[in-house]
Amino acid sequence: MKVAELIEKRQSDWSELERLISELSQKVRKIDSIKLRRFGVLYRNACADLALVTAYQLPPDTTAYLHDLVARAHNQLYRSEAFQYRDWLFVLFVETPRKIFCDACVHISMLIFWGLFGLSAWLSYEQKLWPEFASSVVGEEQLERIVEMYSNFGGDRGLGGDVAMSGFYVFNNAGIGLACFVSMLFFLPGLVTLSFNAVYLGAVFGFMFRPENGDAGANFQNFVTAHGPFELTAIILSAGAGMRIGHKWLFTGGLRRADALRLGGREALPIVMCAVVLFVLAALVEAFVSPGNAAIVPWWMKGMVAVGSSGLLMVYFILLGYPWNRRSRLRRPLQQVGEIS
Amino acid sequence: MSLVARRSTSADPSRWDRREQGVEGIHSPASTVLDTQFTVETPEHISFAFNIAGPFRRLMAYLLDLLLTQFLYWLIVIILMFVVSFFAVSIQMAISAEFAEFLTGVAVAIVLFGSFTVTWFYGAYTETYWNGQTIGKRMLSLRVLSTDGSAIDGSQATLRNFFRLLDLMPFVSPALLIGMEPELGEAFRVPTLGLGLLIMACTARFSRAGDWVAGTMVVFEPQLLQSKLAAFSDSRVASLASLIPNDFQISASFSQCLAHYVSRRGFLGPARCQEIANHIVPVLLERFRLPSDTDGDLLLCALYHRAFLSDPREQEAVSMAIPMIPEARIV
Repeated sequence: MKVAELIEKRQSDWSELERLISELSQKVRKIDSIKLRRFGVLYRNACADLALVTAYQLPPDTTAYLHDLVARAHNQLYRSEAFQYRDWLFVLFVETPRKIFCDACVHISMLIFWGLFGLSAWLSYEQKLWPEFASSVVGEEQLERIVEMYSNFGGDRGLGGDVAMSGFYVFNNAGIGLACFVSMLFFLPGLVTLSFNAVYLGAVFGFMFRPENGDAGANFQNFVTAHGPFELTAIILSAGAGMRIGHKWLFTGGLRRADALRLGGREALPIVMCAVVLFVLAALVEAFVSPGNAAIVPWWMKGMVAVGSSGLLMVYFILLGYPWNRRSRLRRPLQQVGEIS
Repeated sequence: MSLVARRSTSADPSRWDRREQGVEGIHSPASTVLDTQFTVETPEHISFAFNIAGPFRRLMAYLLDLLLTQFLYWLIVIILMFVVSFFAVSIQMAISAEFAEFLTGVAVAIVLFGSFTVTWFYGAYTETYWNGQTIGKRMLSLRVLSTDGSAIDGSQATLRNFFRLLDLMPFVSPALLIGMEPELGEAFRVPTLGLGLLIMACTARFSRAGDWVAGTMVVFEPQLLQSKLAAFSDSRVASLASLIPNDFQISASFSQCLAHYVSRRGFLGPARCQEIANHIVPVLLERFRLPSDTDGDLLLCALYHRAFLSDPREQEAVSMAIPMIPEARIV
């Protein structure tokens, strides 16, 4: 058969496939089954045509057209996989806490954070070993500003203000957490972010707890109690999740580096999503519970919120996370390989 | 697939061979990257090529998305603010100042929370539910795929969009450039995209850090027009074609050459056409026993006519030849 005739014969099929592709890319769910069947047939035919281009001696631009057509049809046929909501519960309440519990990276980031935080708080509080510590970390002006801010603390800003601030806290804190997660890919910038936050927060805490800041200190304590557990855990989790990816650079476990990174990414995603959820919870607490002064929300009530949220975290990370069933712990590495294959 | 192959090398060495042959094309050590093309083998046992999108087309798509998400978003925000403040005034009069304040607070929270969501999850959402495309990518015919050519899933889309922040780094404060107040400069920091470009330059598939971690690539998926074969209005072409001896077989590569030539000759001047034709035409004229002053361009057109448009004798030959041709790419 001559080429011109062949192309003419196939052209109607190709055009029909093209029409179906554009229909599918608009609205996949509303296409009826007859059309979908037809799409399959046409796609396979186009594949067959592409396989035989050399044999048919088709001109190069027709070949290019066929490559393009098959590629587009292929991308409509094999579609992106959305999250399965049914799996979410399993991932959220069974898999993730167990992963986090056993995750060395989360442990390391927890050690780094609390270690630096404690050290810096102690240095800043104690004043004899390194008297200028707090002012050199935070800055003299900034310290004064903080003291001033907490001296006038407790001005009731109304429910509207609370709601607005909850939005701000999510925007700001979760953004910082995700930035920390992302920059952990190259370790150093992430470690700098994590350490900076730990040292800075520690210095402020130590400074505010000094006896000389009587009222401001009490107000500060009053403010940070309630949302502390959620927020600090969230920072640690996002840094740990980032580290999970970052350490795959060095320890590939016998895989190619690109594949190892990919595996790390899959492992880290639930952890960082968990951190985002905690950031949102922390923002809600920070906006609605923390700012009330002692007259509105007494300190013991905030303490109860802190204990309650810590309790929730304990239940999640330890009760759900502890590998009660030893077999499931043993099975984990195998499952990970299976996921990629 | 390849991961398992590596892990179980000792158990099943034959899997290694398959890997070495380079099922994945670019990945394999055997093939090097020459073009920005990536060959995919589908379950239908056909391989076709994707064009991998370069950084600048992707930048355009990103800017479009940015324009949409930020500009449009803030436009909506401003309108919302106007509406809320308008109602707030009337509510303040009718009900109470506190309720109006509460309403404003809710609006601010929605705006800030929305901004957070849009910044971090817009790409993830659209790429998950629109089959690897955002609005900007759709406008520029780009699509995100897994590195093996299959569609991406939700976690890949989320990861690659989280890591965009890294690709935008380093953030430079314009204070350094134009001598702005340092405090103002701290607030306005401009992404330079340097790190993303650097990583893209170093990787085979223009992967930025996000693509790398998520195992994705971005392909260019243009909608090519169906090409028509050339038709010649000059009747001399057909008549010259009939003068070409019937036993002259036009090889596959020669017919490709002819197709390239004919598709371009409209853009070339007559002198250039002659120059190109002169590489081969004298030999062919001698072989066909045609007069040596025959126009070279005309002869190439006639050969094209013969190869693609009419072929009285080869009709049977080709249809018989198809099953035997070895290079048919059924893989």
